[in-house]
Amino acid sequence: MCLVRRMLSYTVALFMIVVALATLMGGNFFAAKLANTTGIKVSPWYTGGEVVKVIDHGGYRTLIHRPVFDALFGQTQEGFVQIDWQPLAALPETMEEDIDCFNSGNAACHIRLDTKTPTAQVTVYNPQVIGLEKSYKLKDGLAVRVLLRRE
Amino acid sequence: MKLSGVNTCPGKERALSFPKILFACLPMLLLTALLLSQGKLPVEPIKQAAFILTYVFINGLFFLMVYTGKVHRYRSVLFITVAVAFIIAFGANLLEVRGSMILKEEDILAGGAPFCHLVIPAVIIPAVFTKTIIFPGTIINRFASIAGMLVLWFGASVALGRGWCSWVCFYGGLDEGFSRLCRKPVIKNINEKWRYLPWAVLLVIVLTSALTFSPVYCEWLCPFKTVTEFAAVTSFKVLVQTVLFVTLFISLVVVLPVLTGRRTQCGLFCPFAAFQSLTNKINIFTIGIDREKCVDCKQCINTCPTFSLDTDSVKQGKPLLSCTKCGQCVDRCPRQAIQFRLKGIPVSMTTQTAKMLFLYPAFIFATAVGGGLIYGALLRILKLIITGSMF
Repeated sequence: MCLVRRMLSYTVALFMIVVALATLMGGNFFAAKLANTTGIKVSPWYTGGEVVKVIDHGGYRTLIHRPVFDALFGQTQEGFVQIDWQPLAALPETMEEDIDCFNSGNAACHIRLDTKTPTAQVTVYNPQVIGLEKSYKLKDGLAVRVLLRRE
Repeated sequence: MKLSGVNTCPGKERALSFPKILFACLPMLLLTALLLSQGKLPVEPIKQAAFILTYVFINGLFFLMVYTGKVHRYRSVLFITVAVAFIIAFGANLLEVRGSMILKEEDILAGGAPFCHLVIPAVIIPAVFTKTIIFPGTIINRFASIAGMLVLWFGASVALGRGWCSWVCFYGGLDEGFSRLCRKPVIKNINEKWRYLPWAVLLVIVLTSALTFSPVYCEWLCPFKTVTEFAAVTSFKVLVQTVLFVTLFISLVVVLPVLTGRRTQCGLFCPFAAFQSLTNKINIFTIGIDREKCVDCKQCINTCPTFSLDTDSVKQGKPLLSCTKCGQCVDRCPRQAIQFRLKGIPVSMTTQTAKMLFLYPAFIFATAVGGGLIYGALLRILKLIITGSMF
């Protein structure tokens, strides 16, 4: 029994060299497998969530993300919706647009964006819209986050 | 240097003969060449120089480790070098890619933050319940991607357990470096209760991160933000966060290690370290104390950098769960009573093979992570010397 345990210990220890090599040599493969099989994504609080509507204005596009209220269990009372405009080079100096924050077919707010600074003003149409959170400069565009409250 | 069978220092005797030592180093010579080059040798002379220097340095340390039997002494040199190289290579990379070390809001929205292992305990609960990672990184196909780091962490945890903290972690070398600056510690007696602090921090971090849906440790408590990337101070909140980062870095990574001669950030604060201790339960490698040889001199207890030995654990012949397998107690023991061993084999029957079996995977991970950083840092330094610019 003692000999079997010793042999088993040495075998497991030897296998750790294989584990080390497999981890390093097959790192990209295992990472892709992990991402695909688990379906893990970066939290929408960082990414803005999935894009649910794309409006083409000819030279540039407006991308409206889904409203984000994600929490560990259920949803938070307050969240946001992110709106992107891209590409940066094609954006006019000032943009004004009605935004359907809840993808309901009705505009929930109106955004006026100065693309040079970039600064934004939000006019509220829907009481679920709290106001502007912040405007951001992206690599190839601009983004605005509008604060929302849940019904 | 003296050959096999001849004492290299009082009370110590090398177990391997010289040809055996060379034979033991051969696989590492090949593996480090493969891991460092990624199957493609550099062509530019400056890159070749950095590659050769890194290769010789790493293999030189492995040879010395095997030749002298002093694992901790040469691991420590590698570990500290990796931490310094990390700051140089990472900082230079950020300056090249982003133009500054500041993590801007647009970088966060674009998933531009490199994922670091310290955040792993905080992301697990949200990942399980919501399938999302509460970190502004990228899942795959990018430097320090989330999935890539998770795979690396998982493999290293299976192979080394909490050995990660002394062989793979690219931050740990900083407090280890500072802990070695003072030969005689000013603070000798540290209350054993402080050993539970990392567990308390872990609990708080895991719960608050899950409830707030954000990586609380990264946002408020990580001392290493001071030497890596940080947020631009644009609000009072960011100012408070920055003050906390700098205060924790100075106290836990610089001052306390110098005063105590221990790795205080790793042993008394780091929540990832506490979390990583759990992986020692499943790992085959451990440290064993031969009670028949032990004379209770307590040198191992007084020297353990992560407070992983106490009187009771020495009496039981094994370290605490938090052992990082750094080898300091093995090097220090005047009676050679402490050895690297495999679980399932009594310490009295342990041979040098157990140590070598641990050294291979440990060094493979150390080379794969640290080797690239040393190469990157050397390349930047050589470029700076030759061209006057790091980029």
